Amino acid sequence: MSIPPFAPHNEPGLRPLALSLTCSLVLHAAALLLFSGFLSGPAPVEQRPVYFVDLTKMPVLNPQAGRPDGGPAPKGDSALAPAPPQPDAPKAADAPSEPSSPEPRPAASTDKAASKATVSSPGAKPAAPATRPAASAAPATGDYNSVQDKLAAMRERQQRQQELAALKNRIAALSGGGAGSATGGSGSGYGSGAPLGMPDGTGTEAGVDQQTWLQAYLKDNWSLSKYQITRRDLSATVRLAFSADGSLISYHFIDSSGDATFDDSVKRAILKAKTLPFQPQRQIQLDVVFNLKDLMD
Amino acid sequence: MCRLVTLLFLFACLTATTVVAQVEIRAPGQQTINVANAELLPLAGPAQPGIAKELHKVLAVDLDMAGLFRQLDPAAFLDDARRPGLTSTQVDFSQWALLGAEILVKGGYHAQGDHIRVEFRLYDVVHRRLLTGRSYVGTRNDLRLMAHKFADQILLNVTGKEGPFSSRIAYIDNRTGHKELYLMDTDGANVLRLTDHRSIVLNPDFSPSGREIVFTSYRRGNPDLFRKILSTGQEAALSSRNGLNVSARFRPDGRELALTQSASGNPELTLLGTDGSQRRRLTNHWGIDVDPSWSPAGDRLAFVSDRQGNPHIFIMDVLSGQIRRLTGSGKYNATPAWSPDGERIAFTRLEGGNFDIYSIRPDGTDERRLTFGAGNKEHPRWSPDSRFLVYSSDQAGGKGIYVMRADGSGIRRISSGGQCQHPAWSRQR
Repeated sequence: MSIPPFAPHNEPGLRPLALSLTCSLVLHAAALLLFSGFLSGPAPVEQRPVYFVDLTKMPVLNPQAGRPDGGPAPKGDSALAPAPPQPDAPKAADAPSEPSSPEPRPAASTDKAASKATVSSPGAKPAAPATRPAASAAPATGDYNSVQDKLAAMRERQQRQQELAALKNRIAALSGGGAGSATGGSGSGYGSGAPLGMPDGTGTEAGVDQQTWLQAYLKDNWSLSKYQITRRDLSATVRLAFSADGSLISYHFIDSSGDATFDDSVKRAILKAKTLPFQPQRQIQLDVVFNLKDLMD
Repeated sequence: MCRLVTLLFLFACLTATTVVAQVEIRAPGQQTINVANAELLPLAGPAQPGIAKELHKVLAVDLDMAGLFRQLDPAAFLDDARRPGLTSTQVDFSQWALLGAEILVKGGYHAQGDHIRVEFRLYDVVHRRLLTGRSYVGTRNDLRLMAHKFADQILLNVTGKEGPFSSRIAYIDNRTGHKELYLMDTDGANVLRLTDHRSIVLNPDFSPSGREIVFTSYRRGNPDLFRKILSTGQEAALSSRNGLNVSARFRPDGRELALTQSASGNPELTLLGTDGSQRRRLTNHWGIDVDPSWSPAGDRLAFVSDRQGNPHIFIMDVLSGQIRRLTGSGKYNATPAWSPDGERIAFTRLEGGNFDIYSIRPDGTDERRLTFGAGNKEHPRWSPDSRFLVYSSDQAGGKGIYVMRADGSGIRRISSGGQCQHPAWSRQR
């Protein structure tokens, strides 16, 4: 028995199947092209987030914290934090109070300080093991050259450590005293009154995004005394549109509070903020909800 | 095929509709309104700095007392403050906006002998418009009243409720060696003695119109109730029944008074006509019922009674006579005062050896302590707009009259010298 050669086009029963297969292929190809952007013109340029850093009005004192309440800093912060000098101070204070054993205590305290530094600062980790062998290895070797090499390596490590420490000090100074003293910044930062993070808690060292900045800007311009209102459940939603050059194009109340004084204060806030102090480069449209949820008694 | 592609394209367009971002602002950034209070300028004739300074000072004190303004430093004002501007087109709003002002007070005065015309204007700097204007005419003695009246107008425009600064406060002072009835402005100025009973005068209360005042006096040896017409000084005894005729309070409609009488032997609350006629007895209990205070509608009375042991505040429905206890805390609560807006009842409580002022909602919820620290704070009474409380205190040595905001902030002594007590705030001037 011989097998006939495969000739589908010659078989009348297979024609509809081929047609539907072709249609399916074409449609799938079209869908792929459509969603890959081929039919919708050139691929859109990726909109990079634009950060607006206001160095005069709303600086971020400790942007890494990213929390307005000065809560726990992200993990990355610990890497930037300077090696804490705190362990030295209490030990020095302890020493005079216990004069009976003055020598061993400082030694133990420096060990503790070193070990603490290695825990809190990853950069200092190699330092502790490096110094200990260097001190113990020197008398053990008799080879002059190898000793010289090791000494040179030790000096290099010490220099690197000093540079690293200087860098950390500089970072600490720039961030206003580090995470621990963020609210009580010492002169070199933006001052103790500078806000910590931003209202939505999303501050980064690059600054904050436009939307968050606008939120803070509008809030700054909104003035309303608790003595002006009798209810605390008031809320109004306003749609704002700013042009690319930062001027207010339009505003309208999507939802008003029903309280004339409250709504008027919202209007005043919007009109006071009608010209942004920067050019956003593109039109901004924003719905802003004004309410009194956080108004203190 | 084409149809399919078109449909897909339309679907893509519809799903790509712009999504507007939403942000929430949960509290105003500033809880005060920046106000520029510019000194008034002469409209004609030579400048008279005394007039401008007095008007400016009185207005500044009132605005400060209101608690909702932050007054900008006049030293920072630019040249528009030196230009008279009685219309919005004459004001350079950009200068004031630069200073951060939201509202602006400007104006001028014209003095001819003792006759003075004062023009006040209140501008909205943000909207660049005139909010209100007043032209006051009077004598030099009326300068303070003019400033007070415009302060009331400022509050009306900013909050929708008129201020109380042009009203007056009656109180008892013993500066002559006898407890007499006095009258003063809300800032303590223009003190005026009303009685010369050379005895003991107590517990004044203004009629709703502000034209009359009732008080208790021992002039005839018995604590009798007197009525005095302020404009004429005419005085007459209203209730001289045996025993107490004390703590009378006008009903808000001005047609009746509630007071404590003890002619029956026990202090009870009684309803009295303004002509002195006995209307009806309100309470009938072995306990002592004193210090009534009307609700704004005049249908309920808050009063003090020891019917359940210790003195507490009770509320009585005047029509049905039903009584319920208001205060649940403390062992000695006294002198209730129902706010004119009906929202709260202020009272005093003895705790730790001192009286302090509290306030509570008429339904017994949301009790708040308003005063703290050493000394007694007694006899609270509300301002007609329910924004402030006036009371007497010996916190700084010697009894004085103090005013504070309804939340207990902004305490200031307004009386000077003497031993002052029992204040009452008029509803109108």
